[in-house]
Amino acid sequence: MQPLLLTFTALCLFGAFNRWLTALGLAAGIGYLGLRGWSLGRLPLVGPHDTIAFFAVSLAVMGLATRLSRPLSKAAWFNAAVGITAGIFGGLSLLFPIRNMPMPAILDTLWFELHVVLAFFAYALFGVGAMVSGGWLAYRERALMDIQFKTALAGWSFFSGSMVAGGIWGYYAWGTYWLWTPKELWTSILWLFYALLLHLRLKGAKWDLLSAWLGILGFVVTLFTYLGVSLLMKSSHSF
Amino acid sequence: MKRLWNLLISLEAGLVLLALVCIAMAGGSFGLKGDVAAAINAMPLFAWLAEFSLATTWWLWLTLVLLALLVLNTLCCSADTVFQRFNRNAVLSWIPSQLIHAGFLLIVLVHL
Repeated sequence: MQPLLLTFTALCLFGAFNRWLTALGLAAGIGYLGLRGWSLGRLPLVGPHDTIAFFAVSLAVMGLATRLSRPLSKAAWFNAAVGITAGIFGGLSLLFPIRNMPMPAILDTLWFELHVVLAFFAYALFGVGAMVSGGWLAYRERALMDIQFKTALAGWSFFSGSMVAGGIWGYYAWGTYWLWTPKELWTSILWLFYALLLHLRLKGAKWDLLSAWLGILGFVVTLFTYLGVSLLMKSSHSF
Repeated sequence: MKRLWNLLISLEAGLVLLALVCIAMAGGSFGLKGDVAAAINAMPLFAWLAEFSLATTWWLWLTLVLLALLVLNTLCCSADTVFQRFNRNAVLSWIPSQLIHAGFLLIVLVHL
């Protein structure tokens, strides 16, 4: 199976200039996740290897979907940004050991899978939003800020759904919808941060510069919420 | 009175409050470990706030004050928007955003 993940990583990284190569890489990535899920009998969503691989494939999915929008349809820089970012995370997942364990009883519920899948779709959309923000800083095309807003809104909606599913899963797993741990705090911070970003749009085009930088900062907050907290801090979601 | 209402429905106030809540929670997340972290999940929130010193609990006090102000800001903004758009017969346009505001208020309410 691992050659499929290697193919995904290589095609994303070295085929980043061409959307068809990125799409081919994405097919390999989806194939890897599908086969791994088939062998485990569950979605591969436990531990750093599986989650980072899922995140990398989600980035490619959301990036290619966003590229269908008219302002990005011929933007080679955007394809390159999506491909390289997805490739880096694909490569990062290979650094972590593959754990072939059955789903722990505490995680064995659809609410957990829904919680994690929605969270990674949201993280991926926040990442795509950061790339579009970078594009706006470089090219100053107003249409790019419209896309940034749409990716933030879609990501925030996924993230809201993930938090609801996570609360329900937490109730089954721990007997409470909420725990005071760094992960829950940073999850709330991320939700409030993107609420801020979405409200900032109401201020109009004069605030686009701040909005663009916050779009990039948002992905930093996303990565800290996902990887920083899980790897560096003791929390309910530690790897 | 008009100035106070304008402050309460101010978008800028909402943005500043959102940023400050994020900063307060981020600051608190780094101190949430050991006995302090174990205790906060084992006792009622205000009992935890009373048990530990302000040097430990400052971030949660600050978060609660800021959230209370954010709730007030959200309520006033929602009331103002609903009233204005209801008068202009533009009900459908405010329903999605006001539902999200209602969801936020509900989440804060159930934590009390």
